[in-house]
Amino acid sequence: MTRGTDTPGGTRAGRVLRENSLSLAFGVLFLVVLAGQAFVGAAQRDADQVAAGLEPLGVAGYVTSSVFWVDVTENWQSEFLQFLLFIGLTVWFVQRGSPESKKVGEAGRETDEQQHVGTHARPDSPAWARAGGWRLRVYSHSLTLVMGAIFLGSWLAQSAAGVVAYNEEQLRDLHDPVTWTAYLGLPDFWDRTLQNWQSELLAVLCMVVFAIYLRERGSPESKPVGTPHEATAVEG
Amino acid sequence: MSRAAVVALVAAVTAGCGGPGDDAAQDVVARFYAAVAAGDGDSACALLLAGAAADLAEEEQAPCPEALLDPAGPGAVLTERAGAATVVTVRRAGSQAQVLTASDTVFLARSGDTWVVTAVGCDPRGERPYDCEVES
Repeated sequence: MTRGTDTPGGTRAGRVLRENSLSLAFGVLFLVVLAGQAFVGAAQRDADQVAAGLEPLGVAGYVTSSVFWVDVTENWQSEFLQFLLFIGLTVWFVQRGSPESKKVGEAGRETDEQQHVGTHARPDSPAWARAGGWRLRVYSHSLTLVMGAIFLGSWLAQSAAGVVAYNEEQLRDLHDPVTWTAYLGLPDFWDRTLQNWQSELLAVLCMVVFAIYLRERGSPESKPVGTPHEATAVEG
Repeated sequence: MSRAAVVALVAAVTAGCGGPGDDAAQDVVARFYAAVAAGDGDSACALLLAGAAADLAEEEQAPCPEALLDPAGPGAVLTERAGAATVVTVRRAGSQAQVLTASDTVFLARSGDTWVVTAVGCDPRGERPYDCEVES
């Protein structure tokens, strides 16, 4: 491991940590929680195995199981759908007083000047924002394209892992397994899907509305504490 | 994570994962019916889920090896089906498997690194679970 180079603001490693602490914190929390899910899920599954008179399958057996991955991906897809909708709907819909919303009357794609694209691009604008043509069209929607692709990929993975997990239960209960296409029409697939969607939509609704009246001092997701409730599109 | 590892992980998840595979499940069923055909109740019972063997013994009021081959009990159906026990299809989902022979449907569960028979001598009943000669 190489040591960071000293700079007036501290070592390079220290600067990287400070400038990326939010991403790093979420990344570490994600890995810790995912590992926790793997261990407690394996413990539950092994307890079920032993209760059924079978030998345990261990953590390795659990993290490569469809039961684990259907639980993981059903949550992933709903989270990415949540942000996809949040990004997309806030272009056109507004909420007076919410820091998550644009000002009333400013709904829409906005002008090239406001978006700093084409002839209005700044010297430090991203290359594809200055490029024009198809590159600008793609880059103008790149966030929703990537979030949407991850959402669809996760949802597809949920269905692939879900049919195996569902068939595991079918066979345990002495029923025939079903095909993937049949599974897409079964309540199990839609129950897993919709129970996650409703919770994500509720969380976004609460965030948009609560942030009109409630504050968290210092958070950019909140209005400054003394800002009036009527102020829209103001973040701390 | 390397590309090969990702491909292997995706394949494992979509196929129903690691551990003993289709061949192992097929082998257990073949050995079970070979033991039944040979009149070797001990070997056949050793391939059953312990709970299924215990339930059979309790139901038939006899040790598993005797109860399994009893012509007045499950032995009649199992001995007949042992004559056409060629495996046709193996359906595997995670830690459970279903092996179809020419004359029977057998259910198995993964236990450690092997499979055990959880139900055998099974007939379909439409929407209801299979009706099995031996099950836990």
